[in-house]
Amino acid sequence: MSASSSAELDRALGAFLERGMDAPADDAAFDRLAQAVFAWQFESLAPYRAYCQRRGALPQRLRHWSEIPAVPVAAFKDARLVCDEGGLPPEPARVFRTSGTTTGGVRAGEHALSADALALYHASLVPTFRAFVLPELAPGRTTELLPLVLGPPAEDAPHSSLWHMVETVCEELFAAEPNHFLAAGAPAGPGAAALDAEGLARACDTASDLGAAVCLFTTDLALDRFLAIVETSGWRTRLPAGSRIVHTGGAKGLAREVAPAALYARVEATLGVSANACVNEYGMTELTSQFYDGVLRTPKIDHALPRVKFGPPWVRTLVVDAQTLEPLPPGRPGLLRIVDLANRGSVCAILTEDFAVAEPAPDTAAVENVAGRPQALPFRLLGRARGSEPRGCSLDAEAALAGAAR
Amino acid sequence: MTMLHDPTTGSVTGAPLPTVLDADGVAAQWRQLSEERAALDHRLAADLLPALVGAMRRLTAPNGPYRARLLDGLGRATGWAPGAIEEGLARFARGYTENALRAAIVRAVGGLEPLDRRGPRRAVAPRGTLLVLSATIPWAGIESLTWALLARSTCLVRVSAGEPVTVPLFLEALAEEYPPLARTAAAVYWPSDDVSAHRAALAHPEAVVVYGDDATINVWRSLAGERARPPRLIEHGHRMSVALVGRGSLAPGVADPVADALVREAALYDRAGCLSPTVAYLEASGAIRPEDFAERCARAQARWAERWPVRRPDDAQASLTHQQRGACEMSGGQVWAPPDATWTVALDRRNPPPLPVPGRFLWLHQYADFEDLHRRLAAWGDGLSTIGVSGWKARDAELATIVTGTGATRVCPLTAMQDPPLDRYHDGRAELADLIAIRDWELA
Repeated sequence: MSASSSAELDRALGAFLERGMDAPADDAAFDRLAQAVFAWQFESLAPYRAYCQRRGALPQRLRHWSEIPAVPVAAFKDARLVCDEGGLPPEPARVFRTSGTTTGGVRAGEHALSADALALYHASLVPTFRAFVLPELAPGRTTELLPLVLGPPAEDAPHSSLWHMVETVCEELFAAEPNHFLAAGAPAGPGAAALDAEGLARACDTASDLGAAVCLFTTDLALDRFLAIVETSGWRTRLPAGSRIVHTGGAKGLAREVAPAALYARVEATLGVSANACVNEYGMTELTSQFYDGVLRTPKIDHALPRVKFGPPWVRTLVVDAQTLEPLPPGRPGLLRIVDLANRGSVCAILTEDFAVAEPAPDTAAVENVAGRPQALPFRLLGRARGSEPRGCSLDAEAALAGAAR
Repeated sequence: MTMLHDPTTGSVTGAPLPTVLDADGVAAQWRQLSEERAALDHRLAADLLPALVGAMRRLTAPNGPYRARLLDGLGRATGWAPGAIEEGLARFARGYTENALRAAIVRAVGGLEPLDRRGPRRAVAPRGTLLVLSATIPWAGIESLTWALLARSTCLVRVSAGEPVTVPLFLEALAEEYPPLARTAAAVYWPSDDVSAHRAALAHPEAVVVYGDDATINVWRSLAGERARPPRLIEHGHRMSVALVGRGSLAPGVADPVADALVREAALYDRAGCLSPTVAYLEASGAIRPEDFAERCARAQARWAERWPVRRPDDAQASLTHQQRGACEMSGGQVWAPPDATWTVALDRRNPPPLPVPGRFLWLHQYADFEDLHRRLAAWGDGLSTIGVSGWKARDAELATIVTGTGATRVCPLTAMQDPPLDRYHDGRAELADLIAIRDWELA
């Protein structure tokens, strides 16, 4: 497959995205586009080209999207992976950085997006969010849900992809302006001082009095902290029917610090929002598209914890063996590998550090399987692998660098 | 993704654990040890040395009852290749001699006399020593136990679930060799989350030797601090080692054996020990290119992986291996590795220090000049243990300058990284000297 120009590619991608979230899954079309994106990235990103060449993965040899060499997320820490446009690196319109949940947070991962790449990012995130968080919303309309954000405004966190995403969906899909309840510059896992728990509780009370349903955006850590504060004071409310919570971050990091089942029970007790209205988002700075629980979009399927995660039709995932990186069948845990066509500006195939197990596809997300090829399926996220019982006295990565920094 | 705990053995590894105690059991064990202590009061250190060395001889005797149990138990506990365990045992046993023990005592306290409480300087031993082991290189536990026994301190050894084999077997062998001495020590186990057992273990001793990571050491430090008169704490935290390959070793005809030795030192305990090389820094003025040296290392990795099959990485380690290989390549480095995560040679070109990856993952870095090398070594801070050197002949002065200001506590030949002499200063200190106090005796 020859490399297209970025404009041609963006037109083709735009057309594919415009088919929408409910279009019948079309693995053949996905495969054609994935190979075109790969060919373009192969030509436009020299380190990736060398990486692929060493693996013998050349565009003309590639037979299926599952063969696209995946770049480990750790590679985003030391190299700015941006495809050249017109033979030159484009001026980044946005640079997103990881919050430090990966590898000890010593070196932040970075994802730079050109203006075109940022447009694709928006074109991906808005319909996906609408489908999984606001499935009842009619096309072209905005929701009357009040957006409450337990995080900073995007302008105060210019390198956070999460808060940029929240700002974007609020602009596109919500009638009301968002209210923020985290002090400017505070990290996603805030201390008590940074978090305006009283303000959020007041906003919830007002919404309850008015009968206005809310959409609360939060990280798990911030939600946990907010709940801990209001639980101490004895405050509780029942948010109006239709209210929902979009939360993220539960399974990242070295330990699952906030267990979802316990979190949902506390949310229900304190805010009156059931677990079925809590949608967990899974995304990462290095990617352009996001994954969500299907609790609102496909409420009838099994949402036992850990819940099945779904992405948009322009994303495919594979669970691969942690030792060999070979695809695994459903039911066997391994590392999550993602091919995201909307990641046109850097690399579309990413190897995450997160463990998952592929789920046999429910009818809503069935994909056409190409005979003999690994099948992309939704997945249950198991979280980051933890080391087994510490062995030996060899210094591990985090300890070494923490020690060096002291 | 944590390793499953086997309720039938209490072990995470399949190797049987010694006696599993609760807090009451730990307290009773201390009482019993205290009663045995008097039996050694009038024994001379010179009498204890042959007993200790004899126990080691029993442990390693080719046709004796202990060797097979040790090799089998360690294999099951650690997953290391039998050949690697045999090699490690042979290396340690070779250095565990009466002369080496005497040399260590002389270096630590000036001679045997202070330990026997004779002469102008007389050792005051801790009433009891608690030895908390981790799943580290097996012989470290024997070393620490040796110093406690030579100091005439009773010793309660809490073994790790990950390596519950070596010290209990050594004590069994010692019981055959010299029963009164063996009775002053006991190897036991209790779960790492049994804080009441930890407290019971800390109620009696005047010295505590702890091996482990920062979190483990912090727990013991904090619990020890609860006592009105806290015990003396000797900490052996996690550290790492590096190799310096100078231009003298980066020449045709020499580079192959050097690469082989480098990889052997890394492969011996699957790089689990703090003395295993994590990074090899290559001098830029070598006759062969770093890529060529890396290829030699890769060939050596493949050879040693055949001779000493690699312990299967757990999933977290495998994930980290793949992440770091990819990050290295995408930053302009080169990687030599099989498709799985068993071993890696990564020629890295980034400035920040690479992340140490567990297992047989060897980083290679070419340094521009001595200043660059010094900066890279200093970046490891206090986490640096040993620097193994090859190809630096007649450049001691330069090396001394480079090492100044780094955290390294040992500089040795590359081929001897895993063979620290018994009389070395472990982590920069003489453990025997740290265990005891000295009472000046000024009467004629």
